[in-house]
Amino acid sequence: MSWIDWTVLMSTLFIIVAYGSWKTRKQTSIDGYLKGNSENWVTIGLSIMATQASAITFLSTPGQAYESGMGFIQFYFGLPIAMILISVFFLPIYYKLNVFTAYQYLEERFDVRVRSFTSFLFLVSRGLAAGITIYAPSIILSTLLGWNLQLTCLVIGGLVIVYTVSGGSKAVSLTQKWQMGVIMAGMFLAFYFVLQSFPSSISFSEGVDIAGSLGKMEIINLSPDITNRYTLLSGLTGGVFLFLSYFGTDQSQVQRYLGGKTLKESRLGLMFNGLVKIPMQFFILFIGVMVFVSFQFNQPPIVFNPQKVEMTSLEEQNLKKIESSYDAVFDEKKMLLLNRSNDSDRIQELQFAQDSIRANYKSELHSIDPDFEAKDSDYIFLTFILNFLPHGLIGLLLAVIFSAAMSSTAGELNALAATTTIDYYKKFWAKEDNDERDLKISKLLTIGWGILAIVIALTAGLFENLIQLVNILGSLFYGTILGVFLLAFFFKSVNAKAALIAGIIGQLTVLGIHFLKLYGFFDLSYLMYNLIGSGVVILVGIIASIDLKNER
Amino acid sequence: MRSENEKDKVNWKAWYWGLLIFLFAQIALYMWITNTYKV
Repeated sequence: MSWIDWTVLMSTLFIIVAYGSWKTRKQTSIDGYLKGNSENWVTIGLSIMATQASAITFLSTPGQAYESGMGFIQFYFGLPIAMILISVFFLPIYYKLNVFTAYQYLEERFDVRVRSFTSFLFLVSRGLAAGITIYAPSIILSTLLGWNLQLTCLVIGGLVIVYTVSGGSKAVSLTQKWQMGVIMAGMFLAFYFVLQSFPSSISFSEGVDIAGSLGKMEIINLSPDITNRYTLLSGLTGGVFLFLSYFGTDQSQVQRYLGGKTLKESRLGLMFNGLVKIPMQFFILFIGVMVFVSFQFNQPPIVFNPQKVEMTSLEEQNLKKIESSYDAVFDEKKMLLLNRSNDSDRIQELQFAQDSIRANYKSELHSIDPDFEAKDSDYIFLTFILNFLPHGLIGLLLAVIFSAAMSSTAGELNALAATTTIDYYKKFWAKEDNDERDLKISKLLTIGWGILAIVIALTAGLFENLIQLVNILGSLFYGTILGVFLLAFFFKSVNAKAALIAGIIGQLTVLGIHFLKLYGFFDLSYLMYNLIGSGVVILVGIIASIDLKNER
Repeated sequence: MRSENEKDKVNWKAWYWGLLIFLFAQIALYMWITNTYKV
């Protein structure tokens, strides 16, 4: 990285953090601090998108398209349907009750136990996830750029704490708007430079044809296989439930749209997200596919993860042999593509051979050093940026990654503090209103959750399984939370006791299924956990309420 | 309450149908791309 990159990176981050903190420095009420209450639909829409899109979205998604093509887009097909359902059923009730957190509604509908149960599930899952939101990009940045991992985690976490504590929900939304601006500008520029990296004789449409001939443009999978996450069926069933629970009941999202000036602005913000999200993900995936085309002509490294592995000279010789066969396959395929050969079978064979050699090389490295991370798709896009983008733009793209990490962490910390303040502190300890004291407590809780997130990020490397668990943590808890909310909205006969029993049984069922899956009893897509969790909660809720009525 | 003070004249049904049609139009486009580039 040159000094120009450092200047662009530092100034972008500093301007956004300083602007957000300065513009929202005069927060005197708990209402303004935890809710915002004055945002228009553009800010809400961008803020919803920025909270959802973490740094890993921009690092992993292009890498995923590079490896497996565009099929990942199907994961998002449930999102617009979820936006409509939230706009029709969830949002008017949240507005009518003028709640700070989604869980307050559950006390109105059921009782305080159900409210505390669901908000507790949220705090556990989101509290752990906030740390990983910081850790995941930090480990990639530190490996590729040689940065200190701990320092990177501290910088991301520290900057977020500064403006989230200072300006609360309004600062989070305001900075997220600018962060999304930086992110999209950076991604468009990256796309331009990916196309520029093609040989001059290869046009854009020829690039798309090459990607298509190598299977990267197969988007829709009509398979009924429920173990596969990326099918039309999974997207339109499990995906609807996942996004309904994430956007409808996860406080980090609910808080974003409850910050609207009016119900209309909040609804329009949701519609904006429903309209823009799939095209945006398509674009990010398409960048990955174009990087794949670029690497048909510019030789890619055999592994993208630059982690150093200690080895004997014999092992080194063996790896060198694999590298030479990789080079030979690459050269032959490049020549065929440059000469516009019609022998597509041979080109596909060579691509298959190249992928197999790469997989073999990675497994050799893993057997030499079990600590070597063989899954290197997260490193692909950043490797391209560092090698093919001009100085200055590298800094901007790193600012994109930092902005994405900061925007989603800020949304999480803000929501964690709001839930702890409203659902626990003000509910059980300080019931009478005192704006000054409540504001102070909210700020202290934001700092507390921020420090916890940093501590988790700093120690995450020690617990490999914890990271895997956190990746699926959302799906482990969302089904239950959504099930309780669906009981509240649509099953008027279900009472508080039945809802609580149903919530506990639903959660135990999902955890049981997860452990059976871990021990290899069967295979199931994580997306289906949401559907199963919600289904069990609703079923048990209905049965328990009938049973309790009969008892009476 | 905020919701009661506002005058909301937006045709939300049109928004919802529009969003659904846009979703299925995208799926149709992606199916066409998939069939065009079937390996």
